[in-house]
Amino acid sequence: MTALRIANKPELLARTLTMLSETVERYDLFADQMEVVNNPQAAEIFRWLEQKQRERTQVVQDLSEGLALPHIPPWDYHWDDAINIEVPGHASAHYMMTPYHTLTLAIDVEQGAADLFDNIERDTELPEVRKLAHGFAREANAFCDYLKQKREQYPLPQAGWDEDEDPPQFLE
Amino acid sequence: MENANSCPSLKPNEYKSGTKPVWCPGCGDYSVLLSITKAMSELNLEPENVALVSGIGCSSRLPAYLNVYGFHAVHGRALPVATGLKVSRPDLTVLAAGGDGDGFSIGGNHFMHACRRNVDMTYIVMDNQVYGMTKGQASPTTDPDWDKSKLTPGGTKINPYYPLVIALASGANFIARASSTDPNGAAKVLVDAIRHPGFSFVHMLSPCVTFRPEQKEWKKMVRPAPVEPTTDAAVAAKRLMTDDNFFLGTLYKGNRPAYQPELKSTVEHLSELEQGFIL
Repeated sequence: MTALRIANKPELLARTLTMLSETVERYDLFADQMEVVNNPQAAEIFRWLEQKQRERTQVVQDLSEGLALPHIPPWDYHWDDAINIEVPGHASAHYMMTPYHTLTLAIDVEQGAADLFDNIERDTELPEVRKLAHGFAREANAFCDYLKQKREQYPLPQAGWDEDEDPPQFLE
Repeated sequence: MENANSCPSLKPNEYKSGTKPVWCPGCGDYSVLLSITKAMSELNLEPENVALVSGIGCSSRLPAYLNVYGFHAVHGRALPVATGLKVSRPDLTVLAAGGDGDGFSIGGNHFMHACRRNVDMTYIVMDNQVYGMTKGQASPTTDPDWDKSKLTPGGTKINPYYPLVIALASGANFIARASSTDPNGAAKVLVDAIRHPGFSFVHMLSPCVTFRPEQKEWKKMVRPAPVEPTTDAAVAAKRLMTDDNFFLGTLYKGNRPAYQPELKSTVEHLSELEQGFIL
């Protein structure tokens, strides 16, 4: 929803809720995938990210209490793996990804969300939309900073991190 | 905003079964699953009124992950099963799904005749140009110079199969391409395909990140087709013959009436069916 004019507060809430809900689902999926491929470190971080996004989703749900949110069909959201902002794309995960990669993925998502809300705040003429977008942008930026701090605990992956000594290819 | 449905009664994730997919991380099929659930939600389909029939292969695992009726059929035989189901239960929304090997090689003949019959259903082929489940052999849509499989040293040297062209020539009534790299755009294509009467074919690009990792580049190569859907088969033929395999969207919408035989059952009790099999 980059460069989008928001019609009113319920629309911004509806779009934000969908964005957060999809992010929760995606982190849940990635955590499951990492558990299956025996990558517990990445799985643990994805599970933590899922929980954090659930908490944020609940906050936006509380803000939406009593409001009739519009239904917006999926094709009016421009999230795809090619752009890969705001909601992590399915292709973002790799079975050998490290905690550094995992947090980098989440940082990119938060940065995309922060930029989006900044744009909405800048472009709107509606005070209530501006105020809400400002709050969402501030929160996304703060979480992004926190994730960057957390990432410093982990070493930068070396070149060849994705080289598998026991690859799945059948080469006999 | 174009609304398919003003207020879906079920959210997309309510169409999922709860069984966790076992595809590789990064596989395009996760995204296709999401697109199907979004399309069903937008169309307000009741799960008990939908059946998804698949063949064999990675993508054919789909029925397990949805809470609609499912049938995981024999290799290449999703379409005959789906055809039989639809003509006997025209009230159901019938989807068939599978991969490029399942649909165009093992089931290639069924594909052609399903297009020809034009029964009202939607066939989704997740094309990754490789047999993934058997660990990476060339499929009908693999480029002739792909040489990563030791079964085809130096590549197959055979021209790939062009499913959209075959579909048009065989009589499919709706032809479109979508990509797992754009799940929301794919949901729109699926909504249109399911709504359109007759046999709808959706060519779904879905990269195999394990055996064809170079397909990650597809996300940079796909783009919306710069044309409106045509109802003219001759225009569509030229369009599809010059297609580079990366244009997305609905490319052809025919107006042939769907095939639906008159249903007449003379059997009142199941035991009557047995009579015909008594030796």
